Amino acid sequence: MVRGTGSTNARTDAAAFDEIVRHARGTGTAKSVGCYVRSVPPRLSGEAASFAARMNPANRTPLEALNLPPGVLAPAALTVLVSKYWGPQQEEYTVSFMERTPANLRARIVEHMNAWSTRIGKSFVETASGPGLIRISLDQDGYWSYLGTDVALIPEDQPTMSLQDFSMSTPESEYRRVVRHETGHTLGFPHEHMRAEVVARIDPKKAYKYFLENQGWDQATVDDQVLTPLDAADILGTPPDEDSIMCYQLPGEITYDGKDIDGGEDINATDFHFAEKLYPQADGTGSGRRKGSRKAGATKSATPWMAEDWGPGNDVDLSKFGQ
Amino acid sequence: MRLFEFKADTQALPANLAIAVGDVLRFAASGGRVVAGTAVESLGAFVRGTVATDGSTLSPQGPPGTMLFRAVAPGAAAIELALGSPFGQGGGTARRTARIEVTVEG
Repeated sequence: MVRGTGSTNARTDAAAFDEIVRHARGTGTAKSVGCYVRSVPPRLSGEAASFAARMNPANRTPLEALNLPPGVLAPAALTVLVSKYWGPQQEEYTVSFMERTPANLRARIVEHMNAWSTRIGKSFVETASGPGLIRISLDQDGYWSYLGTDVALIPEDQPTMSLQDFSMSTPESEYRRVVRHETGHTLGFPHEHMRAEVVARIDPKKAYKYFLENQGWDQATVDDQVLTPLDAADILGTPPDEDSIMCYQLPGEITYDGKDIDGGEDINATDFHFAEKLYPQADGTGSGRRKGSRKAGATKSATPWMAEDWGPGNDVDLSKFGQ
Repeated sequence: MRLFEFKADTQALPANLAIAVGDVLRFAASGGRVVAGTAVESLGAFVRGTVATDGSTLSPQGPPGTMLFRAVAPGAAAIELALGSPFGQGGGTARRTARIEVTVEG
């Protein structure tokens, strides 16, 4: 399905890819990479995955959807939603605040966002001016963040993350639990308690009763919030981790066995382990603040191992295969 | 018909409220319900939605942040709001409730 591209482009792609692999692995040279598999352009990735799965059900794996260079990733705990993945390139994401916010508070929040950056090749820096790619509001309802690359699709006059009423008097434990959790969403990590294995621990009857009495939620809301597992084909990461920073605390009153789902209070070792596989640091120095920067309005950067788009008119008709 | 909006801070919430049939109440809350009377109905708990720059609709990861109620008939009702985090202790955002007595005028 993948057609060759012009030789000039191919050389450019290969050189750039070599650079990324060298950075991702932290060792070796560009010459150590002899060949690689290039993926189709983004507009065809869904069709390609469907076709591959149709031809061989064993191909129904989320790994291909990530378009990762070879050798970068091995499954571990913590989940990433494959369709929201930022890619392994080293990047610094700009951060701004929707409301007038004291400098020490802004710095404290960004510092906790960068707790992830001690181990991964992504980092966060406050913008000097203008809206950042990540826009934080302290005046919205509750705590939330858009997921992964969805952040880049939110209009610039709207926040991408809400940290309602965070202030300098908010306990440090809340910074660790909430700011790092919401930053995990920004990096593409969904809730761990939506993993099928965790949802299977919850008794729906108990959950409906508990959340009706405590939250006034109808069954549809309970289904959405705690009882609908993520589709295994859309996620990457095994096994589920109930101590992950991305897992909510859920009471034993709603589980079959009466035991709490503890949830995470901070980024744990398995969170870091998986995150650094997905977003490897270039040189392992403990700082992701290097190459590349993404601001509001920026589009997702090109992945050099992806084929140049040859145009719809030259697509292969796949309908005759595997019917 | 009018739309009344209330922020999440419990200090700002009135203990009693007089509204008219058709009025809608919007609270920054993670949940809520009618606990007495039939003059008010719950329209539900809502998660934020955004129309993305590519025209798609997106919602953030997080619990509902808005509760809507509508006055449907003259009379009295009481509503209870769930504020703070629905999940876990939540430190300073621990779940708490607020009750509002509502009178709906004909």
